[in-house]
Formats: sequence, structure tokens, C-alpha cells
Amino acid sequence: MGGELGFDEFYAASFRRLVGQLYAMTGSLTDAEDAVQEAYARAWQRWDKVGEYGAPEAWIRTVAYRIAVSAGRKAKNRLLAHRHEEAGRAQLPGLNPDHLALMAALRRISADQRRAIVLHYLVGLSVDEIADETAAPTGTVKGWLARGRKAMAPHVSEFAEAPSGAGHTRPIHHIEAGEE
Amino acid sequence: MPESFQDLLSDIAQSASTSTNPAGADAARRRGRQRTVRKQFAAGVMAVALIGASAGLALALAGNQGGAPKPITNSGTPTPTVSNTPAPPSTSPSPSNSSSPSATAPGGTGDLNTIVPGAWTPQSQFAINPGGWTANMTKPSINTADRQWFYSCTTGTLTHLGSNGYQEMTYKPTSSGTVFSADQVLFFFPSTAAAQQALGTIRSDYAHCPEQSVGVNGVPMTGTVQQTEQLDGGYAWLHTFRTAQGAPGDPANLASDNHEFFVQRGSVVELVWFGGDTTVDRQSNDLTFLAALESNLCVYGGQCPPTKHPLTASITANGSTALHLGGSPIEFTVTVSNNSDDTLRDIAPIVSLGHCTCSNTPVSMMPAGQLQLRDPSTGAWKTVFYDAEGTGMDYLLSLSAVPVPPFDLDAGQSVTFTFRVQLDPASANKLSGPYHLSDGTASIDVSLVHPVANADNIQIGNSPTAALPVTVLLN
Repeated sequence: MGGELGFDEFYAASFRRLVGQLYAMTGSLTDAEDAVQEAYARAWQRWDKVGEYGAPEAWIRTVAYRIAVSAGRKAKNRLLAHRHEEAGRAQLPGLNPDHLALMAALRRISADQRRAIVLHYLVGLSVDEIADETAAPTGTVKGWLARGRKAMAPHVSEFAEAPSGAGHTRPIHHIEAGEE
Repeated sequence: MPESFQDLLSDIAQSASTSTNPAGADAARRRGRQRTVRKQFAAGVMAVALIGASAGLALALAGNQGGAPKPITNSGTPTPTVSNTPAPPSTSPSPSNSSSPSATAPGGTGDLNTIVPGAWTPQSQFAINPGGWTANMTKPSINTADRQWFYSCTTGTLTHLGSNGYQEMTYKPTSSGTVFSADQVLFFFPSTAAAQQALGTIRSDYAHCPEQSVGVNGVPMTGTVQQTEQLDGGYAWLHTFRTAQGAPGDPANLASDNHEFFVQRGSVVELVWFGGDTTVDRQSNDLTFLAALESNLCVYGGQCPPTKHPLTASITANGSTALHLGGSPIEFTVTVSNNSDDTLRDIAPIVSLGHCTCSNTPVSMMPAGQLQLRDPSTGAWKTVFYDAEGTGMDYLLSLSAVPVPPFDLDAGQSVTFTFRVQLDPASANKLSGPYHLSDGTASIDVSLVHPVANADNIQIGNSPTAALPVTVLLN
């Protein structure tokens, strides 16, 4: 996959998907866009190596996540987010109350838990793969997933202990999107 | 049947994917190239490594995942594969704000893990537009991880300036609708010498680093860095990016407008950054703010309180100070001196006519007249802008008010200009109704500025820096 052409193809094929994943991890489209773009920039600087990896998308995702949570980057992104809010882009189109409630529930758990849940339920990684991507022991990853699910259980019926008649409940318990 | 958690999550990610507008691979390449110019100020170790995974690849970042803060070991060697990848911010348990915390650890250096409230300049003293600021947090965070944001020439790897870590407070404008942000950061170093060296490197980089020439949006732009003030180990810079049309640029890792203040006291270097996508206030008194920062940060040692601004101006009469309406001009000398140990650049004096008790108009402006500057080489007089002070700061900020091209002054150097001024005999006839002129007093003021092309001048120190009292006489 090396070379400029490979980079272009890789970018075109993966950018939007990675922004979606980073958005789920960070809750900020601005952070996600900027971090993913920056990660591609860094990938380009060493594309001869990154491009040869079996899964450069995982490289981008990991680097982008780290960028998104870095302090200095947040400072810039506070400006970008503000600018976008001013432009009326604060909310994604096509989201219904269930989606917003889910995002609010994700905000209630720790960043590590949220990252693990997104990698598991959205990206489809196994516990071992998450452990590799996050450089954490598998036991830690299992803990993130378990505690994350438990913390979200009041809002996500799938994560709740199966009560009688649980099948009739909505999967997401509505809460205010901005509620903390 | 309700959607599953997985489906809902997928919908959300899909919505974000659809909403995003990719800047493009070309933009990523440009940004990658720019990274060779603008790198991070390292406060952390880049401990990263790629390893394979069960899926054929995966990557693991060998580093600071959670847990207690780790000291920065600047001897750490990044792996060549991802040397620019920032280590994650590690956060420590919140420090306790004791009522009388010690500013320094044993050995006399600042203690990263102790918050000293008195070292922090409250946002009420943030004399930068848009005015009121609100802290985003109740107390500073303590960090030992990488921090981006700094301006450095270093290529390839992070600039290791040797910080042990930093404490940080972030702020937002109190009023909505203004796109600004502010950070106050204290960087802790092992020694005073290390802190001084770090600030020296930062200063050197600000003076010499090439600027990004293309925004991350692909639009060419011009970046400029201008030191606006310096005071006792404190420096203020205005760092802006503009497109050819004069619109704000979109640089990587920075706002289009950045007003940055660095102060060093003891083993601590403080940064206060104001950033925005519109013009950051140039009119504020950077000197006052630097003095405030230094007065607070000196709990870590060093000079406290700060001295006066090293750039001074004086104005002296070469004869009479009586200005007769329609009479002969009075002559005076303006001297600008650099009392610092550094070369100060892009300086210009502004001579303005202060308010006059001779006028009973609401603004009490000086009667109209003529101001002239003598050419020292020929002795000829050249008419310059007659700059009468009104209600605002226009007399100081307009480029037309600058009578001489901006100049540099080396350490200890002075420069002298000779002016003369006379009043228009017809001034008395220009007032009507209840307004009239009478004998009175006024002043000829001198202020110092940094002229800026296509923008307001930047005030240096107080205005006026010096004043010459004069008498205004009708006959």
C-alpha cells in the first residue's frame, strides 16, 4: 500500500469511517475531524512504514484518539467547536432522541470505558484486539467493558440485568442529551 | 422492535461520517509537511511502539495508560515509527488546595504536585478582548504528558525542553458568541537555569522559525510573529495568520490569532495564551498584564515585583513652552531609550496633543495646528500628522499618526527626534455657539508603539509615556 497513490486511496476509503468512530469515542465531531486529519498527516510523514502495516486504519484510529485527548489539541478544538456551533453545526443530522440519549449515556462513562465499548460494539474488535490497540492488559479491557456496560445499564436495557418483561422495554432510556 | 445498542451506535457513527467534510489527502500531506516546522513543546515522553496483533496487525502504544502521573524522562527515545505521536495526558488525583501551600519543593524548585493559588493570575485580570472570562475548571489540572501548542523550529522529534510537567487552567469567554479561548499553564522545570534555558529556546524559536504558509484548509496564508512587550523575564507575542485577502488563516495546531505571554520565575515558566479566529485585542496593555503575571508567579522566586518597562521615552522643550494662537512654533525633543539588555524592534514614537483647558467643548481638544519633524541630515522641517487627542485611542492606533518609520534599538541605545508645533490662528473662529477658546494649559504627549501594516498600532507601555506641559495663549 506504499506510495502516494496508496495513501490517497486509503484516505478516501477510510476517512469518513474513522471520523465516525472517533466521534463515538469523543462525542465531538470537531475533535474527531481534526484529530483524524492530523493522524493522516502523521501517517503520511511515515507512510512507507504505516502503509505497509496490515491495518493502517488501526494506526490512524489510535493516533487520532491520542490527538483528540491531548491538552493542546483541545485548546485549538475549543475554538473550532465554537466556530462550528456558531455556524449551526452543533448537532448531527438524522439523529433521533434514542441516538441523543445514547450519546448522553456514553458521556457518563469514563473515556477508557467509552473507547473500549466503541471499539467492541462499533468497530467489532475482540477483547484481545482492543488490548492490543490500547496497550492495556486484557483484564483491564474486560474491566472497562464490564464497568462501562454496568454504568450505562440504567440507560441501555441491553446492558441491564434481564428483569422480567425486559423485552418490552426500550433499549435507551431517554435522558437529556446535555445532562451530565 | 427497538434498535439494538449496536445499531444505534452504528447510526451515530454513520451520521458523523456523513456529516464530515474530508479536507482531503492533499491537505493531510501539506499538514504533514508543516509538522516539520511547527512541532510540539515536549513535556512528555513519546513512548510508543507498534506491535502485531491477532488480526494480522494491531498496535499498542507502550505508554501511559491511566494510572498515576509519570515523571517526564526526556531522555526517552521515541521509536522511529510514531515519534510524533503524543503520549496520552495522564492526570493525577486532584491536588489539594491547602491554605498555605509551599511554592517550592525541597531543593528550592517549584513543586509540580502542589497547586499554589497565589501563583495564578485570576481571569479578572485578563485584559484581553472579549472582556470577561470564565474558567472551565474549578482548579488547575496537573499533567505530565505531552502538551502541544508551542511554536518551535525543531524537526523530526519533539522539542525536549526539560519540563517535569505542567499545571493548567482553561478559560472561555463569559459572553456567548465570541470565538476565543484562553489557557494559563505553569511549566515546571528541575531548576531555575533549566527554566531560563527553556524560555530562551522559546524566544529564539519565535524569532527565527519559519511560518506555516498554507492553512490546513489548503488556503495560502502569511504568518507573522511580533513581540509586543518584554518585562523582566516576561515576553508577549502576537502571532497571526492571514490569507492574501486579509481573512484569518487556518494554521495547524494554532488559532488564526494568538496573543501569547511567557513569564519565567524560579523554576517555572508560565504561558498565558489567548486565541481566536478573529483579531485578538491589540489595544490592551500587554505590559500591565506581564507585570501582573510576574507579580503572581514570583512566589517561585525571581524578581518581584517587576520593574518598569525597559523602553522609555522623554520629551523636553528646547525653549519656551508658551503656544500662542498664530504665534511662533515651539520646539521640543523626543528621546526614546532602550534600557534592556536586548534589542527591541519595530518601535516608533507618536507625538500627540493632549486635551486643553483652553477649550470649553465637550472633548476639550487642542486647537488645530501644525506639527513638524526636523530632518537631522538637512535641517529641513517636514510636516507630519497633527495628532490631537479626542475621546478614544485613535490618536495612538492609526498608522497615519506614526511620524517616522519604525526602528530598532540595541541594548542601551537611544534615539532623539526634534519636533516643533504651532497653533492655527484661525482656530478661535472655528468654534461657534457656546463654545470658545481662552487661555489655558495642555500637554504635548509622546507614546510608543509597534506599527503594524494594515492594522492598528500596538501600544508599548502606558500612554502617554511622557508629557510636556504647555501653555496655550490667545494673544
